[in-house]
Amino acid sequence: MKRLPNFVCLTIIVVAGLLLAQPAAAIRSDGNPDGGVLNYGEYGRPVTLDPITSNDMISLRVSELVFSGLTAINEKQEVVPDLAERAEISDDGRLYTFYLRKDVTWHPREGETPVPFTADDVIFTYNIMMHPKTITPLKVRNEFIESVEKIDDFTVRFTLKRPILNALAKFSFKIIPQHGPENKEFLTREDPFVHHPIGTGPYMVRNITADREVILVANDNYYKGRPHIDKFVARPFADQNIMGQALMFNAIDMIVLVNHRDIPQIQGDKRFVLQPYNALSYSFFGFNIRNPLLVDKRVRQAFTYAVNRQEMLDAFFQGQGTIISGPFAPGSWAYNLDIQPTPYDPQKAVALLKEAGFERGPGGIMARDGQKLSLTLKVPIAKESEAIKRVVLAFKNYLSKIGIEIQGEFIEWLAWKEDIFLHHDFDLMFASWVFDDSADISSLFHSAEIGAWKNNFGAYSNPEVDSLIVESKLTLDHEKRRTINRKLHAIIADESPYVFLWTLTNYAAYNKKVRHVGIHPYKFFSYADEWYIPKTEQR
Amino acid sequence: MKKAILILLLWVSFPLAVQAGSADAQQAMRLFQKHHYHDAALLMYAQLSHRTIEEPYDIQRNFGMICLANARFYNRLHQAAKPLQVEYLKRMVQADDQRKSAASRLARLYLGKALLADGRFTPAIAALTQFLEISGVDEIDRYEARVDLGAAHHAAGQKIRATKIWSALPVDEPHVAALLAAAYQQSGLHPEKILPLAQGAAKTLLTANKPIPVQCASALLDIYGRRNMVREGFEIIAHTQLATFAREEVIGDHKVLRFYDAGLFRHLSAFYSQAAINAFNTAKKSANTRTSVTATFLAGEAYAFSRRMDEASRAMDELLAAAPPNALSRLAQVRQLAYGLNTHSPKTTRLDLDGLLSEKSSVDQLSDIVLLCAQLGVDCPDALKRATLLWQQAQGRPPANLGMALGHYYRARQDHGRTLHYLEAARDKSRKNRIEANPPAMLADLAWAYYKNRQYSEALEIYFTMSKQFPAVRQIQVALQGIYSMEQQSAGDAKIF
Repeated sequence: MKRLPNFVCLTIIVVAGLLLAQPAAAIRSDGNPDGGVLNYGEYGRPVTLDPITSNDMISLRVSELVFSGLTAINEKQEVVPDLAERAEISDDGRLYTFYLRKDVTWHPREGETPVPFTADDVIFTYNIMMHPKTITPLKVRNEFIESVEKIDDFTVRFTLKRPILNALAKFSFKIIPQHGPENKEFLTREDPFVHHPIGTGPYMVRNITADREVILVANDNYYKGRPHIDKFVARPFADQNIMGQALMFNAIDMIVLVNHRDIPQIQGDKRFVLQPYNALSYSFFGFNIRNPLLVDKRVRQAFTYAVNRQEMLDAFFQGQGTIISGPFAPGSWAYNLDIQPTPYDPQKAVALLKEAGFERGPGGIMARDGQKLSLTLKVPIAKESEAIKRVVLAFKNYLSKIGIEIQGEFIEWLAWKEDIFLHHDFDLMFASWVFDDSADISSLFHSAEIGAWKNNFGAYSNPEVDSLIVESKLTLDHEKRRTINRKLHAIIADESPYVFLWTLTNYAAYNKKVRHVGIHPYKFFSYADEWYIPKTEQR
Repeated sequence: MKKAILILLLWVSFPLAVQAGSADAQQAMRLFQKHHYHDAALLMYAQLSHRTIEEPYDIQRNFGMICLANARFYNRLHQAAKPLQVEYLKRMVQADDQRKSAASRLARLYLGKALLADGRFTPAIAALTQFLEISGVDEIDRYEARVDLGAAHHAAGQKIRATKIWSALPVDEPHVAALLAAAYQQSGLHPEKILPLAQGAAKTLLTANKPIPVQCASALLDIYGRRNMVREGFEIIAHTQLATFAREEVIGDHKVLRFYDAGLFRHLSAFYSQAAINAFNTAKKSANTRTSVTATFLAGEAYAFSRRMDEASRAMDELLAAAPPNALSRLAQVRQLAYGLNTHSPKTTRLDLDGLLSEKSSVDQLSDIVLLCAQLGVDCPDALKRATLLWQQAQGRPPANLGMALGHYYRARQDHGRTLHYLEAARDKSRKNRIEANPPAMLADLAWAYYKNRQYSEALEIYFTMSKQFPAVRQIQVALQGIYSMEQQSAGDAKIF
């Protein structure tokens, strides 16, 4: 059995702690004050607050405050213990035995005595997550697990189908309580739990206001010690311009994503810190390949040739980003540096459409067999809405020049998600993906991920891509995995299931009164329990 | 240094309209001001290469400025590439040894090369020897390994062994000839053979009607830089794709490895530095005082960059004797003192540099001194203290030049946390990675600090943008991607943003 050094260190600390007191929570010894409220601006409302059914960043940020996993990733990008105090890995790399902390309790519901966290909760989470009727992008991520068994109340053992790279990091999925969901078999977005969850993390969901603000309060029993800041309030803003002003006028203390136009002003204001984070995101127009007009890749490629992406980036985002050529962000280790972005070439676009059998018809619209290339485009109203409106308008104009008609529709966030991910009622959609640094695109492009609430919303399917994705997951050779990802990049760039646009600069901004701020590049609030506000600056 | 160049630019005021140079020369200066040093150098050199006379001297001076900027920038990249290549290749070899399948044959060769470039001769000998024990590798790779093994032995003091290894190499092969000539150059052996070997190889490679292999180009640049053969060096640069790998290895269906020349940045930097010195020394002959004094000042800077401190000091003496205007005089006085000091005795240097400060020292002066300290690798605690205080007390956004100076200072001291702090604050965030808005040397140091702080994606993003102007950056990108892929510890998540 191999044992991980980080886990060993923590074991010693935990054993010592258990001798002193149980189950009282640890007390932070950093000397920083407790108290204060942190209001942070979000660019939309979370659809659900649980870690299983959500697939957007707004929900992820909240669930990061509320839940814990067996493992976590620290600021040095190392796998460290979380709910498991140590782990043992069998020599063949297939058995992962986790020894759970015994001092963790679930957030109590009103009038409820805190319930201890046990191995049953881990088994329950795995089973409900993998149930066929549970809609979650986590399934594909965890398909490497063959089974899980309870050894005793505080020990669980996972058997892997095969050894994989970075398996321990994958056990950072958040654990939910067995007594949480109403339905104990599978989890849906209708379950009350997903809207008012309980976890083991540093903050507890208190309520959601009529203005859709999510109020989170400090968990006094958090096993690492009560977090310093009393309350976090997630405030949704439909308009990023207003969110920027709210920061300037001290109505909020933090913005999770700064509007590009506000960057110079915030950088020049000594009250605020402008902090870059996470480069692994990109924006795109996604095709619904269920539409017969969009099945031929030459048609999809024509869209990319028709659109002057650099011009849009410069005009609407002050050039603060980079045009991309495929399904990875340029900051990723998987980006294929040999693949250059498709150039702006409307003549080539027209030629491709003609090759695919289209000719200009009445009104100058391209048509094939009497079917006009007239498509719907669905865009969520959220995040940098003014700039996105301009992007959509420009996109329509570029395409109209080559005879493609686009009917753009701006839709409220929740309705947009249902149209795209549930009903698949769209021809084109606009969105952005953000990735953790594993560069795992399997949930986006593997054909097994086509279906309700799954991430392959456009029904892209290519057996070669499927096979490469699987091989990339199977290999224990980093260089082989890199090569496979470069191939995936090349194939997907060529097949164009999306019009790949750009990756933008991401900045958070916060008031300097908030101290000791570390931001996880992907999950954002992972270290928020250590943040504090000096007594003199608490409101 | 950046500030000093800005002052110079202001003083000579760049009367572009009246310059005797062509539209190309003016365009080259515009590219230079946008920090497109690579394009600027090629364009300006093309302009100069058509001339049969040295004049106009202001164009020579401007060409020198472009070359010096390239030299400094490539040196920054060299400082990053050296340890990155070693780290990446070491890990690759370790992983191969553990896995025992689909192992690379070439990884040890390139690890040996990287170790040699990093001055780690004993481990370089070990890696290269291990490589030579592998059966079935291509002959050309064996020859390369022997050239490097000889160089490593020679550098480790085993000269006879080196000579013996080199003597068995086929010098009629241009690839080998170029590398061997560079090895002779570095070792000081067979001076009579160096140029015939190099020029013979260059002739064959240039007429081969295909890009010159990057490792050959790197070797030839090393020779031409040291021998003041600027024209020949530019011809090599023009015929080389600097982003190209030295060797590609295909293992099975799904494993492709690419290896890069570890000495490329060092050789590019040294070559450009020599080209700058030549150009400034030519421009010094100008009858126009503005041109001659600025060229003299810049010649001093270029000598100092090349660690030719005596010549750097003499340039400052010469300049001050010519009674330059006040702004330039102040800069020269600081340098006269700094270059004249024994930089191996930081204590003396520290005291004297701090002695240049006055109560009224401006942000610009402080930035200049702190940068100079960073360049010379000396401490200047008083200047540092005042610069830090000024930076902290600034109203609104702290002065970017001060932040850059402090960032570079801490970079030179391997304090990556502070480097990140100051350079990130100095960075123009509204055009984050654009070299037009942020000097490439600053971005290079910032990327390095991000790498050392394990924020790989931030570092890769900077290099990605940088590579558009400086294709040679590709080798850093590939190594960093490799390390990142091994280091990353994530679950495999993707969310709608």
